[in-house]
Amino acid sequence: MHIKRVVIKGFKTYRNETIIDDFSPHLNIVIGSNGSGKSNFFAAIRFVLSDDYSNLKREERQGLIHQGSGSVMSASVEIVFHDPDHRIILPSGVAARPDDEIMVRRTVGLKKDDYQLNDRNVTKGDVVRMLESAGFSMSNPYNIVPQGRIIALTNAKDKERLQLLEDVVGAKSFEVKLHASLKKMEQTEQKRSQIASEMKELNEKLDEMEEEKKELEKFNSLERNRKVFQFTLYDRELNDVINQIEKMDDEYADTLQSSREYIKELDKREEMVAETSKKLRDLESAIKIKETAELTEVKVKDNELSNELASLDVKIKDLNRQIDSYDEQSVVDENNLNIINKAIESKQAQLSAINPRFEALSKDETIYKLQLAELQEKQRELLLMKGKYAHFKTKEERDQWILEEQHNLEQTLGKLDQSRKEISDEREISTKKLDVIDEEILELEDSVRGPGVLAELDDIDRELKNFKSRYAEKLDERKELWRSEQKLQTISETLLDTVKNSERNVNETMAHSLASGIASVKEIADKLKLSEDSVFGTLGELIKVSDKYKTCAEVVGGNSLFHIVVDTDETASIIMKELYRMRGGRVTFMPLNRITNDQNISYPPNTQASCTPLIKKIKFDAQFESAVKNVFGKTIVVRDLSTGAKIAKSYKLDAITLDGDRADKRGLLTGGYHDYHKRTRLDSLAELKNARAQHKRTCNELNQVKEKLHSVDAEIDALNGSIRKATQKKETILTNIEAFRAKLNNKKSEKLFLEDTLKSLAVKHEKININIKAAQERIQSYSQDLASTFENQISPQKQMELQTLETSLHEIQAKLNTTTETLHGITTERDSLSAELNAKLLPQKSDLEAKTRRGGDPITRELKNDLQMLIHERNDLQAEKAQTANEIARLQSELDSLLKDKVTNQRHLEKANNQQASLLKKLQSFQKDAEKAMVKKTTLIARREELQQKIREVGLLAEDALNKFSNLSSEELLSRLNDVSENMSGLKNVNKNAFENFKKFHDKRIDLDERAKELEESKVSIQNLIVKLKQQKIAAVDATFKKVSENFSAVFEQLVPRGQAKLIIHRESNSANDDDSANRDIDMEASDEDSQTSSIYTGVSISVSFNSKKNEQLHVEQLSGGQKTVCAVALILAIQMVDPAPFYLFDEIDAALDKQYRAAVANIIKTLSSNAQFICTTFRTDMLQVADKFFQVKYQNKISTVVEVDRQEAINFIRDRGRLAEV
Amino acid sequence: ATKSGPLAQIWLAANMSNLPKTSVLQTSIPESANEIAKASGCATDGSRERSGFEYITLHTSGDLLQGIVRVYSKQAAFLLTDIKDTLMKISTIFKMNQRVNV
Ligand SMILES: Nc1ncnc2c1ncn2[C@@H]1O[C@H](COP(=O)(O)OP(=O)(O)OP(=O)(O)O)[C@@H](O)[C@H]1O
Ligand SMILES: [Mg+2]
Repeated sequence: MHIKRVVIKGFKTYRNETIIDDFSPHLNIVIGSNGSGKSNFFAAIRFVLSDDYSNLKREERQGLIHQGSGSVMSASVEIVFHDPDHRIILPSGVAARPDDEIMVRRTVGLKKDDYQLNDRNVTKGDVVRMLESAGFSMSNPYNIVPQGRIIALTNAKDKERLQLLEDVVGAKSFEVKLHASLKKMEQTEQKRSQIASEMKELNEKLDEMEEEKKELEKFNSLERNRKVFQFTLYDRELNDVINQIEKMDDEYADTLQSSREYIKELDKREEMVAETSKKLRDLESAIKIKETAELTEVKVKDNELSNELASLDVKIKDLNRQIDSYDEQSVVDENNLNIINKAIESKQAQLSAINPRFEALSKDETIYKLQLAELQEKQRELLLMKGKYAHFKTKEERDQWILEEQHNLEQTLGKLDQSRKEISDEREISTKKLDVIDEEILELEDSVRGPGVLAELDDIDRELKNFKSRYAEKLDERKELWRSEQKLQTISETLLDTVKNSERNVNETMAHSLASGIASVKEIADKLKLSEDSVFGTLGELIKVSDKYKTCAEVVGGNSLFHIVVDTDETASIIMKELYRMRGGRVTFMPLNRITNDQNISYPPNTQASCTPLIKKIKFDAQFESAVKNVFGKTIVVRDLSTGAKIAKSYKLDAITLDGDRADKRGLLTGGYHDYHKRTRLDSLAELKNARAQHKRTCNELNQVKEKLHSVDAEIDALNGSIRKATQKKETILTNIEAFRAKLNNKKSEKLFLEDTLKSLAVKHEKININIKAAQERIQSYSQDLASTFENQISPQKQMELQTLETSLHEIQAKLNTTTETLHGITTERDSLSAELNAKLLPQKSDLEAKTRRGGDPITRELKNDLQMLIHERNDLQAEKAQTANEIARLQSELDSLLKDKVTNQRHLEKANNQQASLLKKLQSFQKDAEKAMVKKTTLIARREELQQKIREVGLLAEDALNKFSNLSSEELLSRLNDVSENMSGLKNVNKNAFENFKKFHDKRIDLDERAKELEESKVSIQNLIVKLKQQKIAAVDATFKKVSENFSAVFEQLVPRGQAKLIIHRESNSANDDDSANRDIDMEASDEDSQTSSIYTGVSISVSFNSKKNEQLHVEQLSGGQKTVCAVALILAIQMVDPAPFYLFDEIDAALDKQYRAAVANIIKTLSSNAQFICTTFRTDMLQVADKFFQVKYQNKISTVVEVDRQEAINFIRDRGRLAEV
Repeated sequence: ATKSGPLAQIWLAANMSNLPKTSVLQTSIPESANEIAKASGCATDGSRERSGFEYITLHTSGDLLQGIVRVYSKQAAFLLTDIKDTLMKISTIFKMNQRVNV
């Protein structure tokens, strides 16, 4: 263990937190100028580790805390040990640290003084003990030597040195502890005397107890006898009673067994009857349904199918005929068309043959006509000229005329030009018109025959088809619905019958007025339209009970089962008024809002399996809880009535057995034999509810079907409408097309007319051209004439011309005539041909074509499709019809078998009913027997219980004692019992517990005695130990002294080779009889401790010689300061060798030594430092040479700091200082 | 040797402020005293040879002595209270019996 780190804060010159870390476990040196704070560092360590700073006064504390700039309120020093060998034992409660470090911190403020170990607050005692365990004594730390105190060791008195030595041995603490121990022993001795006296008392009491015990034993034997007597008597009677009960039980069991069998039989019959009548009812309803609904329905369907088939056949025939006639018609039409086509072809051929000639001829004719006109004009001119010229007298006259004529001609020319222009304008207009008409024709043709129209038509056709098929589907659906409506109607009727039947069953189980009341309530609720949420029905209908608990529920419920549950008392009063008005009977109402139940019904806990609250076995809707609770809440079902009655009574409840025997809360028992044979009300009610529910369901279904029918009707209507609309649309389109076609024809004829106009215009144009030409020529000839000389007649040249004109006129006239003639012939022929074509053949052809186009293939195809469909339909219908026929047959056979079943069931029912009656009679007689037996049995059981109770009171007895008196008669037993009882009355005051008390305390006594004895032994052994230890102590001091003294001499010689030293121990004057003193009585020694120092020594003195081995033994008082130091160092080191402390702190121990001693001391410390830590201050270099670590204290601004330096730095510092000092 | 040996109980007694009753009653003082004597070096036969065996220091033996005395004292105290208890019980029983008999 060594000091590893010191942390100082606020202590003396160490104002700031100063950490001096990593001390060597061997030799450390602290250097620093005077007054820098070295001693303060040592003081800090002593502050924590020695007693020097204990019990500080206020001023002393002040002196420790740093004084100076800045207020420091507390001083703390923390010393951290490194303890890898775990020599330090931590006080309990202080946690060890993982790095083997132990932190001891002391903090002093003006008002506080705390110790902390590993950051945990501890007392100073804890720290003292802990350090002691590691071999470090705080009270006498001779290993911490403050500055200037080294000589004190040498100067100390002999006795002080002895103490030091004893301390090394540990004698002092031993002495203290011994003293404490002895005191404790004394105290204990006192206790022991107390123990002895108490023990005595205890023994006396226990003796008394033993006395009592003996008395008790006697009493016990007497009592045992009495008990045996009593027991034997009771036992005999009990056996008797039990035998009787058993016999009765057997008899009863027999009766019960046979009655059970009968009941079982009865139940079976009952069930059978119920089953058979139910079967019968089912059969009847089934037959009814089969007969009225299914069979008729199928038959109706069959009829319908036949009708449909017949109408279909007719339709098919009709269609076939239509198709045939269409086919014929189309063949004829085709033939006609062929013929007409051929005729058209031949006519057209003829026409085209005639046409060229006709054209050539007509051309010729026009040419001729033109020529003729031209010539005639010329001739007329010439003739006119001839006539005029004859009248002229002068040239001027002639010229005048010519000019005039010329002028006229010119005017005519202008007019002609004008008209020619007009004509060409007209022609242009006509061509344009023609173009327009052409376009119109194209358009019309498109709208008559174009793909758009056709597509539209197709679409409509498809739509129509679609609608029609859907229409048919819907019709079928409606038919199906009608059929199911019919069926449901019948079913509902039969169900209504069942409901009535069930109602009758229920009514049988109650009074007439009640039954009619319930019926009336139903009627009233219907009449007043009270919803199902206000009048719920009878209570019995609203609950469900398993078979096991049915009897109980029925018995408990009683007439309450027919109470009518309503929502409020208002509803109840409304119905009541009405009921009263119509005298409808009597009912009781349970208005849910008015029922109040006892809130604190408590049931026996569940663990008692022998009973269970009845209400837990009833299932019901949560809203009826209050009503159900009102009737059933106060009842528990128990297995056995007598125990059950007790439980029920303690919980203020009613009890009932599964058989319906009951006990109410007053403990009254009722019950016995309940009607096993009657139909239970609950069953009837349940059946009724079931039947009603079924009926309602069927009605609902019927309504649904009706609704569906409505919707289907509506759909059919809608479809009809759509079909009509589509047909209309189609028709309008067709009429439109027709209209367009008429327009087209108009346009075509208009076109023809325009073409004609154009032709005639062309002719006119030509004519005008010729006229213009002629006029021009005349103008020219007039001009020639103007130039020629005046003559009275025309020039000969012109006469000639006239003559030639005449001839050529004739010629042309002749030609024209012949041409015209031939043309006429041809024209008539052509006209007749084209007339035939246009007026007759082409229209016929287009008619036929239209016919084939419109009426031909598509219609037949449609018809064929229809036919196909109809045939298909017919097939379907035929199949269906076959099916229905099968169905009819099946239904018929089913009906037959049902009827047969019905008959057999009726027979069964009759038989069962007869058997039932006889069984019932038998059961009644059994019931009477059983009741009688029960009464007798109850009295016997009461007696049995009484006896058993008595035997229990007697208690358990030994087996052999029981048989001891079995041969005695009962009278004798009785007299003996009386004797014993008398004897016992004398011993009345006996203590019944004496026996066990004695036993209990006897053990205790032995235990206590033993322990007292042991304690005595302990005392002796401890006394022995103390004696031995005392001897041991003396021996230890002796031994230690011897060793220390040896070591002292050796060390001294090492330091002062020429000198010699030794330690001398001084004994007490009367030390001769030390053996006696050791053997003296311990008690005495402990009592006068003060006078006895327990040591036989008085002191230790030192004797030294510094220059001679032999003489001059000096006493320490005579030594110089340096020599004293040497002695002290030698002593400390000698002790260190014997009892090594973990660390040593020396503040300038070498201050007074000269060089030679310094070196020697340094060397010894060096060798010792391998086993112990040394921290020293010095102003010399000797120790620096051998040290391991160096720390320099610096002092600035009145604050100390510590830094680690290396050896050379340390040496330099010392040297510099020395030199400075010299200067 | 002190920590887990036969003297562990005693050592604990010396260092602990309050001792559990069971451990006090279980401790045999004569045996422990013997052990302490052995450990301290004063063998029963009186011979004092320190042959290799390291004896405990005086300091420790003082501790142990104090411990064993504490145990002893405690045992006595327990015994006393036990006896007193028993007496109490007996007298109450007597009283009860009287009351019953009257
Ligand atoms: N409570 C205190 N607050 C502030 N300074 C203090 C306090 N107590 C002592 N001092 C100062 O500490 C210094 C003494 O320091 P210390 O005795 O440690 O010196 P040193 O290094 O041992 O010197 P030397 O070499 O002379 O022995 C003095 O200057 C003194 O004023
Ligand atoms: Mg100093």
